[in-house]
Amino acid sequence: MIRLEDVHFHIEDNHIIKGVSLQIGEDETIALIGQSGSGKSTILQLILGLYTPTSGKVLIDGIDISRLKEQELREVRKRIGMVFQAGALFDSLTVGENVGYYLLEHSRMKLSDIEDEVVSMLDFVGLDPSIRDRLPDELSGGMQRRVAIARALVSTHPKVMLYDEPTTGLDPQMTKRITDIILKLRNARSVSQVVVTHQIADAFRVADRFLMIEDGEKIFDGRGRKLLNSEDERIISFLEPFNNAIARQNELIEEINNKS
Amino acid sequence: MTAILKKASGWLKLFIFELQQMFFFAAGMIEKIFRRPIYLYDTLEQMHFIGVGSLYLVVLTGLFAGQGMAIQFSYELADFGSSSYIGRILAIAIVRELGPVLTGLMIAARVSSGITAEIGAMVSSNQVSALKAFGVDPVRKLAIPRLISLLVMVPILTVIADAVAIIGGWVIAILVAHVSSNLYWANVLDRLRFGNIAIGLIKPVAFALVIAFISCYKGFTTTGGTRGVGKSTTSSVVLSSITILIVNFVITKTVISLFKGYL
Repeated sequence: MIRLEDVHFHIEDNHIIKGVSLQIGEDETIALIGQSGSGKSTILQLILGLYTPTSGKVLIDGIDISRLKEQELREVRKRIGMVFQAGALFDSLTVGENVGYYLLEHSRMKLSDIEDEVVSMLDFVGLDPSIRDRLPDELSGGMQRRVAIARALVSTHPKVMLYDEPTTGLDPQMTKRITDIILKLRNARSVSQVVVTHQIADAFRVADRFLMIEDGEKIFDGRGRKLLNSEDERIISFLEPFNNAIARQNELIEEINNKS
Repeated sequence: MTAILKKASGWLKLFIFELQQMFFFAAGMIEKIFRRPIYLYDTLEQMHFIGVGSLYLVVLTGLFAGQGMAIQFSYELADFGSSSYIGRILAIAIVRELGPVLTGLMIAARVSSGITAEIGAMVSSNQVSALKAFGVDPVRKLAIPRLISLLVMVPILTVIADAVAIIGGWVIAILVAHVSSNLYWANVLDRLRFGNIAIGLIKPVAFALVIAFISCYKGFTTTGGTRGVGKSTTSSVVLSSITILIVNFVITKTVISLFKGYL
């Protein structure tokens, strides 16, 4: 269970997060939406303890991680899987070493057992295990994201998964594959997931609940229908391109039907 | 005038703040040397990169610096009929000053740029955050192996540079100054006393610390994407080189003031 209580965060004079409170239950998938630079990724970094809030509390399973020392934080982080923007794979390591990194670093497992775990995790995210000897640079963007998800999952089979814009810059087919993995994970492993995105279609596909952040403040917390029916100008304006795209898609379908 | 003073005081504050941050970072690195886990493989890899990778650079620098110095000395000393002292003067100049400083500067140029660029790129691409997310201390994983490798390899490379420079000087002493080989080596060995060797080995240890602290600090504090990595790398090389020269002066002055009789 993740809970943020009136969290404020500053970088020098910039007030990045302004009194955000939220709660994410077990087995729940949350979409954290909002425009670029609104503070979504910062919230993920606060949950992971990479940033310390200026004030307020960040509670993971009831423990306020903002008060923990670096050594204690490292133990908390081991229970959380994080997929960074663009993957953040270790570029000097092979795909196999990336996926098995946590086990190589923290476990006393035999190399052959780690190899088995890597193969099974690559298989879980729909990648051919034969790519494990390749370097991250040799993979496409979508493959890199899937390797990043596999890497996050190998770590102690986390109860919390955080995704920082996992589908940004990917083609529709690859985007679907990534969102499929998020859905598969929700059904197969019952983990709490937070997906940061500004792509509404992806958010609707994977999320049980939506949180919208605008200029560091939480302006919406609720289900998809409530979001679509919101009369808040900021939400309407954010959803406008998404609604226009749907309208345009309907128009095109109608045009094609008329022609045929 | 007030605007200039305001700007100058702003720069001074920033400089003092940066110095303070660097000091805390360096203290943290020292403290973490003795803590587990020890990344043996990373340390050996860095030793190879720093030691073997810099060997050709140090050998070439030592050889030509030694020969250049020997040529200068041979002409100057010939005017006083003291060419036979060439080995004596060369040994002191190389072991105490030229060997450590040139090796330090060469390693600062090659290694500190490499360290800063690598860590800086890892910071920019979130790889350092990913390490933290995996419960790994990035300073211990990335900075400590580099610090240990520098502490081991810079003195070794300095000794190699000293040896090559003295051998280069020997060639010039025989061919240009027409000094007998036996006399040259007798003079060289006469000056290779404990005091001279000690000062020649204290300096590379200090330079290794300077290079490690500055290059790692600059890498970890990189901001601003690829341009930021470029800026950090440049400032790391410049700062390491200048600091090496300042530290060299301070060590020379201190050792000569305190231990003159032993040199």
